[in-house]
Amino acid sequence: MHGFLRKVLYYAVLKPVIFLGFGVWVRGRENFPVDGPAIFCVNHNSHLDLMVSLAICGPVHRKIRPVAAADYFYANPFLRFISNHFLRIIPIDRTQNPLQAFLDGCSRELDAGNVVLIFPEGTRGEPEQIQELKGGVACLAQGYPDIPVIPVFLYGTGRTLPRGAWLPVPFRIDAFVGKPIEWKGNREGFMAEIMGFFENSGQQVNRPISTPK
Amino acid sequence: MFELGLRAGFVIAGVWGFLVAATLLVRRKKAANPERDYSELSQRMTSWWVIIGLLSVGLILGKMAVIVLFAFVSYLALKEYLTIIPTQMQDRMVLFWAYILIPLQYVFVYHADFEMFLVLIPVYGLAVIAMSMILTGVTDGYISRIGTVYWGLMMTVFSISHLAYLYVLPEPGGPVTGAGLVLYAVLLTQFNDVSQYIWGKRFGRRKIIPSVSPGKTWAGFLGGMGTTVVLAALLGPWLTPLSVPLAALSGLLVSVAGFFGDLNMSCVKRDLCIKDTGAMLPGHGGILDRVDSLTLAAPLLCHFIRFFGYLGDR
Repeated sequence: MHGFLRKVLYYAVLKPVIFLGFGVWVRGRENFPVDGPAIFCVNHNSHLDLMVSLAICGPVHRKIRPVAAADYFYANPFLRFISNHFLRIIPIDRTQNPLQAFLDGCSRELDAGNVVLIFPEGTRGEPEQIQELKGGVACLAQGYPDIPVIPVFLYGTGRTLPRGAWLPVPFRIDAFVGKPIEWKGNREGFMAEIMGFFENSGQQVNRPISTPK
Repeated sequence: MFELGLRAGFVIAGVWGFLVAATLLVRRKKAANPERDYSELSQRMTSWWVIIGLLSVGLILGKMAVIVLFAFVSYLALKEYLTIIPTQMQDRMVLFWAYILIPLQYVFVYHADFEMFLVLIPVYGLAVIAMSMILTGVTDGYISRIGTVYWGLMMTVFSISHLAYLYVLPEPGGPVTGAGLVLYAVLLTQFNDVSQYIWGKRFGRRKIIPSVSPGKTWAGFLGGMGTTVVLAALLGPWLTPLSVPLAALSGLLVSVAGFFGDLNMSCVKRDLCIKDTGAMLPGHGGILDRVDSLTLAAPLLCHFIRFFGYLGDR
């Protein structure tokens, strides 16, 4: 039942809203894998980031399991229902040993052949500004060196629906999908590669943006 | 449903025939020179098929479909414009009101309310944009912020909606239909673009204004103008209420306005240091790259046709 409803929502609501309503210019779409397991590493500015990732990644969208904070996404019964049955989040309890909870939750999904979607910045932060990346994804990659880690950079979602806003004001969204980042045995180097991809993509969005002073 | 009219129907069929011939020609060229790269040309052809396909379906379905189609074009164009200009976070509400004006503008097209259609953006839009911009409370860059939003509305909503307004100009039942007028405007502007390009490519030497666009030459401009005037004189008396000389004059108008509309978008892009406004139409760029010539030509042609064709002897 939920599977059917999910399909209807995906093709009849999510895809038209994202592609016709906002519009996405995807570069590197071919870098998405056709099947799991995989790890998607996405920069985070807006609630739209997850929706856009789901809409642009093709058939593998069925396998996506986003890592999300339990205190936020389980805040009320309605949100909990949506989070469990439609977004299918990997809930992380941030109050006690979040790294262990993160690794356990992700391992379970990767072992099941699913795609773990991680926002390594942790929170949405200021619109269109990259924050420091957290190292959890490197720990995960260390445990699964053969699973592809795909970096995805999104621009425009933070302008369209920034943190704290309830009304989306449409702008075109730019998406950059990178080639898989290989685990070469060192966490700092791994995180630097992801950050490098984000920054490099950010420069290719050849559009000026200014944030309030 | 049957508002298309026989004449517009024939012209649509002719355009499809023309596209089929062009597609076959590109295919043959490709087969003859396999070593050359024709990917941009093929992409352009595919985009033309989509544009002409959507327009034909809209015109066959009738008024509502045409208005929704052009409202959507305005929406995409405004969104693309707001995406490429430097907008600031605190101006979100201003941009929200700019978007709200699109459906309103097209509602007045639907009801053929010419006065409201004309004043919505210059009068009410002017006030709403100014008020919401003042309420942001930010004075830094106020003039350029309010200027860019307002200019964008004029270029993408006010001007493109004139194309849709052509559809509601004629009384139903006559040999001249709204579909015919829309076709006339779209065909003239797009044909003018293509023929200026071809004349320029073939004979162009002396550049007109290289600091804006190195590709614009006198030969392209004048050759394109001549071709467009001939096409207008041939199609005008059939698709519009204009006589042959007036139709030729409208061709001249479209050619000059189309030329400057094209350069207008080039200036915008050069100012922002970007090459294309987007990637929605493969081979062309963004939607603004395709409708650029319409931004000045559509309002002028709409008024020309209304003035000489529908106001009679006043």
